[in-house]
Amino acid sequence: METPEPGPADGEEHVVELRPRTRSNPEVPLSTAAVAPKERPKPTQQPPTLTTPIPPPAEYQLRVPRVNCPEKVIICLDLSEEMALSKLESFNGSKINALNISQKMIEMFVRTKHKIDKRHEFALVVVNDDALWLSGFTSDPRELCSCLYDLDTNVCETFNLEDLLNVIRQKIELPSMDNVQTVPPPYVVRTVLIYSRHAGQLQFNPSEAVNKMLQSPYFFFDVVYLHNGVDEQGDETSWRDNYTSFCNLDSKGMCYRFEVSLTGPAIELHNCMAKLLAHPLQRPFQSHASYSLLEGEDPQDIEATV
Amino acid sequence: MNDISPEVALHRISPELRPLLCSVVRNGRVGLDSTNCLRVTDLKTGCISLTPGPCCDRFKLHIPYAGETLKWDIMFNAQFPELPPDFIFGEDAEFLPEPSELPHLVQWDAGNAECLLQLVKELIQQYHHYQCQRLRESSRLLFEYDSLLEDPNYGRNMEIYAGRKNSWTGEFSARFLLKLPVDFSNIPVYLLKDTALDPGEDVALLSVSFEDAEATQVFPKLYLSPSIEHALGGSSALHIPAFPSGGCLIDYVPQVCQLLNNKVQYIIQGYHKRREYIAAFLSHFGMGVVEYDAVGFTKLTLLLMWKDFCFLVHVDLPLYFPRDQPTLTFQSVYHFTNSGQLYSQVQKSYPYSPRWDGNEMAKRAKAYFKSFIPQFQEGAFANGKL
Repeated sequence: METPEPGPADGEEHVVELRPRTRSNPEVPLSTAAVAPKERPKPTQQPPTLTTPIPPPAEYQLRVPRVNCPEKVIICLDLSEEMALSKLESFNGSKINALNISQKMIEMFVRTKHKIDKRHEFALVVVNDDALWLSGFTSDPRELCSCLYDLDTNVCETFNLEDLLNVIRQKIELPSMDNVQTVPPPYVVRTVLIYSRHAGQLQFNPSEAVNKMLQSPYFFFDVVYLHNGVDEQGDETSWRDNYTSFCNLDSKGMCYRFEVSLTGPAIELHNCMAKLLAHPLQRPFQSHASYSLLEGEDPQDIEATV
Repeated sequence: MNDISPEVALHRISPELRPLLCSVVRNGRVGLDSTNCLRVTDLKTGCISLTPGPCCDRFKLHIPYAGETLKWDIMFNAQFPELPPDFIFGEDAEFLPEPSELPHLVQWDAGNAECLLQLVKELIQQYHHYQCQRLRESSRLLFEYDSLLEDPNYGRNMEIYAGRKNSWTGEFSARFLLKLPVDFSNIPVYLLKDTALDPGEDVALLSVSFEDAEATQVFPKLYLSPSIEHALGGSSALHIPAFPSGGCLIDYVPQVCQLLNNKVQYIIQGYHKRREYIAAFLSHFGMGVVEYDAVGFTKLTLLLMWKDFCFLVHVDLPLYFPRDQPTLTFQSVYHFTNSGQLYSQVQKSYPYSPRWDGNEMAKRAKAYFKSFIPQFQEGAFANGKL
């Protein structure tokens, strides 16, 4: 017999039960009746695996209440040389490099998040051959921005994802998971990785501790992959394979992943960062997200265009 | 100020008397103003100085009553702890309660830790009667009292202090303290700030001071528990109409109640309206939601796109929504100002009516966005820094 899904199914909306109102308990937010997607996201197709997909934890179908709790956002910036190549097309047509754009969009990100909710906190990690925790956690966007400029890129060998996740794991403490479905966590942790290096394939054999972190319902791993747009050339790993590897890390289907060409318009990159502003507990599944303000469609139509 | 903390008092009191004092200082709330606890000062002993401590057996108890503080001396005898205490009722030399009206004195049980607290409560009741008797000096004030007494809403929740005559003019004055029968239980929980000390139940107290026996100088004042005051919007919640000259309490008090009730209803409705608004916006724009306040429904941020141009709309819902219009702040995702801030523009007066339901508000907002965005985008590229 199929395990009953606690999520929305068959057009029926999942109503989060109201907790008894005592002085210290916040009300559980309004039901997501209006916006919960009517179908579950399709699972990522299994490609020829370069990394082992993270097995979904037993509770992966659990839905955390959609409360806008404070976020701890760890911005991880790849400082490989690809970031310094001026191939992106800026608004006025001139060429600009990804590092420049990244700096501006990160500043937009932290300032905007701070404006929305002053409790959000930020950290900055830069990745060369190793990951280095530069700043954070701080709720003051200026503190983070002061470390943001003045960074250099260099030639990097492989990308040590395990090292990065370990550096993160050592700096955070995830909330304990009591009553995941009914009690909002005191905060969630989100990693936003801006990744561009092309060198080789992604090697990743996570330890149990790292796996546990990735499986936590309060941990999110968003990725913006800046690639050279070139498909498989002989022996070289195509960027698509690496991108898929990142997608495999998302066992819960809750993370956001973007792939952007380094030779395309810079606005694409800006727009990715804007989409990443969304709170992980309140944002739709990425496949359902839709932002356009075009001529008068019905809300139903928008939902249908998945 | 020689207030003694409960811990110190309990430490110094004679051990046999400790349970009795404990009930009083730890849990003792008497009267209408439950936010004020009973306080103890002047802890002394009647024993000779050679008696090993702790052996204190007498103290002053400060009791909030009708906006005053009564200071009663309570005197036990450490040598005979099983005996009930004596009382001196401050300056109220004429207050002589009838012992037969004090069940916990008649049946004093030193083994019952609550006995002293109960006795104090009974004494306060008697004190209240005594004060009401004194109102007879003014037929006007007696009338006020009697008319309130008849009304079950107020009659049982009054404290009267028909106190000092004004020593200059010989004028008689009185204060009425009334607990208002306002129901705060439906106020959304998130609005009720948790205070560090649990203040007890939420109350609204109306204090009316009559400075003269003819009721020509009447000064009303409203007190709300801190969390209620905060929930209703802060100190402005305490504004009440002046006492009408020639008016009387039985007309005035219900007026104040109505005012408070209206405010409470407005707050409750406002919460539900905001919730409805946000639900409607999520329905219309939900696939582009960035964040929203899922507890108080006071704000919402959306990410929208128009011809590849991304922009944010921050919506702020005021406390007195829908009477007060939400503020819209448009923000560019690409631009900063010259001083390095986010490029944004605030709109406070766009087409709006408080009579629209949430759905209508969302539809109209969408139309407004479509009309406003082109000029916002132009402005951003013209005046903003990339």
